[in-house]
Amino acid sequence: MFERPSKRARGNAEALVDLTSLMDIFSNILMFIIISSVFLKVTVIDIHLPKPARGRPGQSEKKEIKVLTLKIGDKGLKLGGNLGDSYSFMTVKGNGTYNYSKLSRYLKEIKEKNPDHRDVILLFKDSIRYNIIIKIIDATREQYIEEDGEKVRFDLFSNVSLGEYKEDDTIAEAEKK
Amino acid sequence: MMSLFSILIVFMLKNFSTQPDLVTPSKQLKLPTSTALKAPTPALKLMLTADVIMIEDKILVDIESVRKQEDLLIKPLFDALEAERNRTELIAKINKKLKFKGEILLQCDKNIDFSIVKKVMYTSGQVGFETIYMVVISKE
Repeated sequence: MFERPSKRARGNAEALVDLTSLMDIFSNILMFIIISSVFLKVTVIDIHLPKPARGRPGQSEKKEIKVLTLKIGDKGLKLGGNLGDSYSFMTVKGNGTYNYSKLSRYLKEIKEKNPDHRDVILLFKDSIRYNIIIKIIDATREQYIEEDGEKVRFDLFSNVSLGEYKEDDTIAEAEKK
Repeated sequence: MMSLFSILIVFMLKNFSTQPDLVTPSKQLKLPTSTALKAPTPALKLMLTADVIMIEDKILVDIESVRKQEDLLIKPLFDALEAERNRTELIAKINKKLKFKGEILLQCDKNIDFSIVKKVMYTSGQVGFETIYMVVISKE
């Protein structure tokens, strides 16, 4: 004989909610968000404009000021100043880009001889695009060297000043090695 | 299913950015890429798109007229920056915690040439905005 189920048992029965369709919607939304999201990291390069000189009239600086300049023209780059041993003229490559790795190599040599010096003056021709300006600044501020399979950052000249370069850059100069 | 969602949520939270909205997406403003790692700090937004110069999303002058002028000073930009400086200094008189720092967040289209950039920097320097943060997209 079957026993009749008690009323208490029937009253305590759990109501099951079917979440399948809700989970389906969530998974679709989540997939859409992941596929359409763009992970962009925005950073900055800080430039400090020079302040007006506050020297008193008649007061002369007897201390030699070390200066490193880099002129960026349409045909190439030219390092100058009194830090390096010689002037170098680096030509633009065939596809119209500058030799940034060679520039960083020259700057690294200068930095190793002058480790305390951090200033560089970049002089651009008016026709140089902003994209190139940023790449030149990157190449003068730091260099990444591969050591044991890892990229190591080498600090070059982080205090960057920008200026104008009006000299005719069609003057041919012998590339010094 | 729940473990899948929890992993996805952790991934999304890990990549969640708390940076303020500094970059205004625009077809006319394509930022250059760089190896710079410094995070941006809130400052006055100055935008050089392919067509116009803007401060805080307000159009000041078009790029072509700036390119044609011989003078380094861009008058509409000078007036706008001076107004911003005066406003900040007025507020700083009341609120001692606020101070005029002279900082600008420069967002410039990658195809703008240096002749425009130098005029903008010169004009900014004349008003007292001597620190310029050039906004770039990190290569990492």
